Amino acid sequence: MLSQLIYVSVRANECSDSEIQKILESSIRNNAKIDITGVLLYSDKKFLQCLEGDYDEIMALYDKIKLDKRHKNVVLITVGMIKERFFPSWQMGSKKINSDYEFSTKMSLSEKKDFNAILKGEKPTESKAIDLIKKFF
Amino acid sequence: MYKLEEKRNKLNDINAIEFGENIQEITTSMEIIMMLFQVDDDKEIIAACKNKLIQGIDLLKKLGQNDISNSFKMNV
Repeated sequence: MLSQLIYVSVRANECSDSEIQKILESSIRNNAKIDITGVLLYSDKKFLQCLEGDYDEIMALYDKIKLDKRHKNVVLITVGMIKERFFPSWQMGSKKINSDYEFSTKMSLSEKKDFNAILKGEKPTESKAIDLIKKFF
Repeated sequence: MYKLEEKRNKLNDINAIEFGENIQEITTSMEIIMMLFQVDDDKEIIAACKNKLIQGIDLLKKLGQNDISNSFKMNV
């Protein structure tokens, strides 16, 4: 069952930018095997991650993330079924908040344009999840 | 079933929040609770968020009071 999960968490003090790079690299490596896609947004203090894939797989990954010392106070924002993925070709895209747009992902130029449009509110959507992502910016 | 599991997870996550001991940790955790508070419409989850936010405010008050009493000690 295709589902989407969004959580937010506090970035632990010891979680440096190089640690985040490790998270992204392992996400890209591991998520492809279990067909999970999504996006990780982060600031100096917080993470927001959107995971898309099979319900059991994303719940199992969420439980692992809750035990990861790089995160503190992980809070589930939403989980539910979706008809199609919002981030289909992103093994794990990322964006650091309050800096220039720099995506660590192999997505196409048109996908980048779409995402930027969503963040600017130009692409209409009824999803609470996307609304939340917009709030984070 | 999934809705119940989602609700149980959210309540567990909120109740498990530890604010830490400095203002930045407390306020960042409160911001996270506020995100859920803003997007969820379940009464129990909203009540849990409110309770946790009140705990955070109490902690901030205590930190403020400690700062004030410390500044008095330094001035004496």
